[in-house]
Amino acid sequence: MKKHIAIFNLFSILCILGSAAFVSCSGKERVSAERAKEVVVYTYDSFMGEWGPGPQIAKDFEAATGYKVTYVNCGDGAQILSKALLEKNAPQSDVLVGLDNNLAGKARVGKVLVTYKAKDAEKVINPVLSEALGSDNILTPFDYSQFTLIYDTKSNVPAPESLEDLTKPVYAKKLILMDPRTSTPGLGFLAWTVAVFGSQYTSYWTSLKPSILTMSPGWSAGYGLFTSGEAPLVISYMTSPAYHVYADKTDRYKALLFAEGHVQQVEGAGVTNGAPNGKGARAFIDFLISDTAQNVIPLTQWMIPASKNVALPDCYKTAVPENAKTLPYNPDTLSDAVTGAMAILGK
Amino acid sequence: MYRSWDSFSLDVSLTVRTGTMTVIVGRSGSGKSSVLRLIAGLERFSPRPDGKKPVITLNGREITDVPPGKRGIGMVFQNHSLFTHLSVEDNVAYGLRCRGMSAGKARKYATEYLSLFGLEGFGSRRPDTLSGGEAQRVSLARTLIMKPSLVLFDEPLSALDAPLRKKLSSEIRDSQKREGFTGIFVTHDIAEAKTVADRIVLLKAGKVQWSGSPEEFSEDMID
Amino acid sequence: MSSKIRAAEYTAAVFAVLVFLCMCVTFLLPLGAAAVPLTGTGSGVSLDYKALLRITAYTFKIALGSTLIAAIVGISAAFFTANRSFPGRRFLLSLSAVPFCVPPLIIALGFVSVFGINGTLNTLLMKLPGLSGRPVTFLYSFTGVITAQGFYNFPLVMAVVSAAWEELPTDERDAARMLGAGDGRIFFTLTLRQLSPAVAAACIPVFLYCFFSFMIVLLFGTIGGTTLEVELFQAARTTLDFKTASALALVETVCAMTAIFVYGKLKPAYTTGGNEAHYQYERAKIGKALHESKAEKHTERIVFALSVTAVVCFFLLPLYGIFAGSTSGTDGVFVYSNIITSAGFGNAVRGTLLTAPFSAMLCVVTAFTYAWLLRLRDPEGRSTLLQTLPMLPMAVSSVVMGYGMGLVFHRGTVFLLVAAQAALVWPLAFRQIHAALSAIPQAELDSAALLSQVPLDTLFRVAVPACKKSIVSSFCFCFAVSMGDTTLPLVLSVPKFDTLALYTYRLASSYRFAASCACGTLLCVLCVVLFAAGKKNEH
Repeated sequence: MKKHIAIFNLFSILCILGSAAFVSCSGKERVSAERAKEVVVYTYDSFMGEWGPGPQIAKDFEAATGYKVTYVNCGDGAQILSKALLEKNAPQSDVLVGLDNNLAGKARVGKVLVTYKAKDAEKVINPVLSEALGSDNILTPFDYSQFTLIYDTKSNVPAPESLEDLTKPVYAKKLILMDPRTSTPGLGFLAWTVAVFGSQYTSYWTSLKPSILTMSPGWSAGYGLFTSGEAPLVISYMTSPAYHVYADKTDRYKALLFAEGHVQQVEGAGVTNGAPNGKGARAFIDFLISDTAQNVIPLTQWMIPASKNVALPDCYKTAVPENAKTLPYNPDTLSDAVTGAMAILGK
Repeated sequence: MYRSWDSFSLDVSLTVRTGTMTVIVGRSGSGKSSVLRLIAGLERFSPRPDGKKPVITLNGREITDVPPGKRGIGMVFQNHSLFTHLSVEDNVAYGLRCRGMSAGKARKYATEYLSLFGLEGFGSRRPDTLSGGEAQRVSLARTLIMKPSLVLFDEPLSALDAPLRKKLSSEIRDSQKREGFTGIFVTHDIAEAKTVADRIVLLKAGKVQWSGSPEEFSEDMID
Repeated sequence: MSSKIRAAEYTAAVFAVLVFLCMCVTFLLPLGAAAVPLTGTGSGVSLDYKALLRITAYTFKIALGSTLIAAIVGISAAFFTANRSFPGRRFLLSLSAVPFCVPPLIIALGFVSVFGINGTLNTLLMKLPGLSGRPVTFLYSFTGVITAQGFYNFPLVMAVVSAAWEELPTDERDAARMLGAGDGRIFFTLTLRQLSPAVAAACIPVFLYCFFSFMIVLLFGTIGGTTLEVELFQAARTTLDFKTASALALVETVCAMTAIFVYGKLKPAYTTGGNEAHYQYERAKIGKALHESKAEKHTERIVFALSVTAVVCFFLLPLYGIFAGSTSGTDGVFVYSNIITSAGFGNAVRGTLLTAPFSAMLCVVTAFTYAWLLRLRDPEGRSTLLQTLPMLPMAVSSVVMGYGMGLVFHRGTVFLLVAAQAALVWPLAFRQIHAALSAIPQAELDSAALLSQVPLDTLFRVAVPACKKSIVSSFCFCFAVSMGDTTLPLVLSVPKFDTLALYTYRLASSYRFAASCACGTLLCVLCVVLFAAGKKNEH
């Protein structure tokens, strides 16, 4: 019996040592001819899903350039970066699509992207968007949206007009947020409070706590609760109501416009450092900000295309408030803010 | 009594004298164990075709509808059925505890009773450490400590080897004489039957084929 | 014995051992890789020990509370499904694995549709005069969390304990009955102990699932509440601080394994089945069992009524809520035809059916191999270490395993996905098969060994048939778990590959909640059909 345990232990140790060795050595792959015709895009789930922009963009890109697009589903934005970091020594991807302004800094530090100024980028993209991703062009913006509260017009509470309003007793348990530790809109709301209240955000969160019904782990759960009628307010994208107008034919859900301003998420695409098909990667990014691709975005991605040339569909015109003030913030301060806010909520 | 289970029926009428040991013999499948289980109350009667109700009486009291634990009947099973997670002592004390006796008192009583079966010092042992013969003795002690009026033996020795069977069957006979309980003993071993029996009943295909004294009985009757 | 059969048996045995070794490697490699950052330089948000203790305590509290509810409801339900006949019995048992294959998000939406602030219950209660505000808010509380998780997991307890209950030897019970014990005493002094391996087989996985869950904990729990898994998620996937992630993973795994180990030491020791007979009692109707006194019959009827009410309220209604949610969109009931005819659905179904059966098969083979070896070496379960060790793959967070797998296997194939899933889920099958193997009397195995020319005969002719029910049952459960897995397919980034569970999530991430519920319903149906087929095959 002891002998068996000893053997198993030895076996386990050998495996663990073996894995460490395995991980540390990995060579560069030879780029075959076939691979040179393929553009491997790391992206997130909803981008490449059948209702997302991915399939149409890939089809149009293939028709225009002859390159074949292979999407790799990484789950969510952070996972795209995580995968890229893990593969740094032997990158498998050509393009990373879906890193936002919060992840740009980490991508920069991790050196997983190379700078590339996309064709016509200066002409079609608002410089504010490029700045949000860092003006060093490691990421090219392809869409954006501000964060705001979506309000259920059927509820019996009045629509708030500022973040401060949310702390009023009438909004007790009426607000659905997402956990900033596990969700982008959650982090977005936190960034919003920091942008508005500065270092006073802690006292804001203390007053806000009674209003929060739940902090859902992801956008889907929170928004799902919202559409089930659990609470009349949810943090989401300014563009969310456009979907309901278009698909559900209802204007029940309204995006609130606060005078104090909103923070925004800008999504970008970048060329992987050491990409096996750098040429194809650049072509893809060029295409991504072309009119053809950008026109696909509104009704599939439900974000505002980065290109100025795109005319937004009617549902956007009716449902998405314009001229929202964009508040700047420093993404690097956010991790401390997360700790701070969660500490307050945890009391 | 009449019982139907998977198209098997019994048609038995049995009267057992107090203080005697009646042994039921017969081939496997003749219904011996079923008779016992029905008497014990572990099985339910199905309705008779003629509508009459089967009846079991014990010492003048009808027990047909009385739950098994309240019939005043004890049963020793083929595979001793000791509670494997309890010690020997706690096994023997189990019935007393069911009657409401305190744990300490029941254990004390059980330990004393064990010595009657030559099992001094076995109290703290576990059933899985006992030999077949020892386990069956404990089973017997566990049953007899409750002073049942009727004790049923469902092939209690068939799992043991021949010399042990011989020894234990004499011991059972001796306890029966000593304690004076009434017994119904089921076995397919004729020698064993003859050792313990005051009367032998031969069962075939659910019917009583023959009944008489052990001396009158011979093996070739089973057929 | 024909040489062809002998050859087949040998091949099967060799294959089984190889599979087992592969599973070990598939698990240990990523585990080792995930541990590597511990030695590196971390940027680190490091947690202070007080906070860590608090978080660990909260995680335990939730897991224990949920497991307790699952156990109580599960064992009560198992009593009725094993020993009584009532309408809906088979249907209830076939729902057993549904919670594993339906994504937690959908389960949560189901609960919300019934018990939420805008749920059916509140909508009905609001119609009653004299009630202002929303009366029922228990869902968004600790009670809500453990209720949702407990009921979400009770079917596993019910199925496993029920199967074991049906197979319990009846001799000891008969002996106790003859000695004057009523059903209640028999249950508490005898049956519970005899069932303890099965209860462990079910409660340990339930505990682990609840220990690592965070959808329901975050959604319904205290605002700002956190569990070890959430902290780990944040470190590994948001801040990408792998050193902290590895450290938290270590804490998590040690805690989980300690809990299992402690349970292993505390639970009543059982011995392998003796030579007891198993008398097949006819299944009585509720309150009509042979041996019960009037009081016991009344108690049984009350307990049955309570159990049914609880199961209907907290399990069936939320499932129905999912279905109701699916038809609440603008397409109404046509959401189903829309989904089924959509391009990605076929691919998703194909992916699911390609991986789940093979993954489940690997689980069962691995589990049986280890359980058999364990039976041979330690028949009485004296070595808690050997009994507990196979739970290790389940005691490691899937976030960690995902991270480790990502390190070791850069790009995956379907084959790798199947292997990875099996490597993590086989302990679920192990506990059930182990419980069944332990019940085989040693005498039976000994006599088979004496009668067989080759030890393999005992294995294939005695052991495997004796465990058939557990094998089928654990196959179904592993199948369901594989169907519901959304972590590994993403981590391994198998190209052009999709599963129904991922498809369900993708729908929810794209505003299509009704369609997402519809997909969840389809997953349920698939699971029920599978279980029903499995049960039919048993008989």
